[in-house]
Amino acid sequence: MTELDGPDPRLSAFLDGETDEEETAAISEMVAQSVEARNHLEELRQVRQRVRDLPLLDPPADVWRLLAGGSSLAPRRRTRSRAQSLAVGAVASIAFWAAVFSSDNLSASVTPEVGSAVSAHASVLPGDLAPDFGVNEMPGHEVMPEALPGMELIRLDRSGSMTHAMYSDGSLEISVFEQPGRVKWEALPPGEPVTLGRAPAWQGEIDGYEVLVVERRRTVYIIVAEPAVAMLDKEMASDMGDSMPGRGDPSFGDRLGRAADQVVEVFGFRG
Amino acid sequence: MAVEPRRRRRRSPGSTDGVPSWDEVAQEHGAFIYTVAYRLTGKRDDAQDLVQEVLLRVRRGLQTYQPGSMRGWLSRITTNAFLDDVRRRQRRPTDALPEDPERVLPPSVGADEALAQQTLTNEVQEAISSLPEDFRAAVVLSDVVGMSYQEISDSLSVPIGTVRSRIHRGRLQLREVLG
Repeated sequence: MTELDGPDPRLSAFLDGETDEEETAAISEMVAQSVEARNHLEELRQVRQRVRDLPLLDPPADVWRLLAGGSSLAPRRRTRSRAQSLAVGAVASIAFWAAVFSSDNLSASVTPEVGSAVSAHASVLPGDLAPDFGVNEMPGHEVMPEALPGMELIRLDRSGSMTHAMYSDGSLEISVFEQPGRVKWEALPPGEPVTLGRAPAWQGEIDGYEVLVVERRRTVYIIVAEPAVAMLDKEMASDMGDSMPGRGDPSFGDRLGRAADQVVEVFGFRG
Repeated sequence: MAVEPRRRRRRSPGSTDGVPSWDEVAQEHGAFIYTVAYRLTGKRDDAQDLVQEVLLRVRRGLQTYQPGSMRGWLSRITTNAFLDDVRRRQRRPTDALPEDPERVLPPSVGADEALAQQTLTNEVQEAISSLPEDFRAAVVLSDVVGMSYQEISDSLSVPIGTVRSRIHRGRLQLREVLG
């Protein structure tokens, strides 16, 4: 018997009131008769108490922003002017923007920071979604389509020459980052080189997100799609039981895989 | 297939059908979600990442939430998100060497984090962080969240005997570390 197996494994359950009547009687008797058992029980009780005494934490400001960003959109948007909404969106994304592309020259070689793109995509929460005004009023509208098949544009940001568009079908999102330049292919992490038509591309998985880097007409695109549906389905099933919307709907499973294809088609990468 | 825009389907604040709005969840349980995430990960940045993942799952699941123990539901989502991430990293060992230099080099503790560590009974937290993830999840759900063994068993989808064993072995390891 190892040290870890030393004390009777029923002691913790006894301490927690998780033993049945028979076990409770047996352990009570053991504790009454054995100094060693009493000591073990007391040590376990003290350990448990130290964990229980850990305080409830006040989330740091970054986390409160995340939490606030998950709130319902309508009330906040009604209190903001369009300019304020734009400013808030720009401020929220600026840190990620700076890191999504690093280049020697914006019109020359570009190192797509795919990890940062995934972070930028994942960081956009409902509270950050685009306010209710026309796409034509959004910065960057001239370079991104208003919609993809079955998906609407829900967010559009521009910083310098870089544009980030996010599309959604109501439950799943896909991001497209665009910047003029040529890809430094050798700077990309291990992935799968692919060719879309005549356009070179890189395909990989970052933190469970599907990522595609495409160069077309001296423009670099990073496309980030939601995690693979198989994993998502499994997680949803374990987290939420059988009431998950879309489970069992065959189109739900296909949408993610089609999303990247839609972007590729709409942006004409294969042409 | 035309899909109704997500924001139009979202529940309005103050809905009274027994399902809380996101605002209510965030205000009432935000600190709780972060606390559980921090206890599981042991690092502020990792906790923030975990909270973000939890928000994603909560956001998608809130409309189908069945009134009951909100904290239990949130704990289950948080713990499963944590364990999923652990398993994902184990399946893909290269994830252990991400671009994030903090994970490659010894972490430098910022002033705010140092202050937080002072106030967060760091010794116990470090001991929890030293536990194997499965033990850690069971101990956190039991002693931080306050779940029963049956609830933990349901949350982790493991037999109740496994829960009992993990909690006991986890506490024994904590005892060793804490001296």
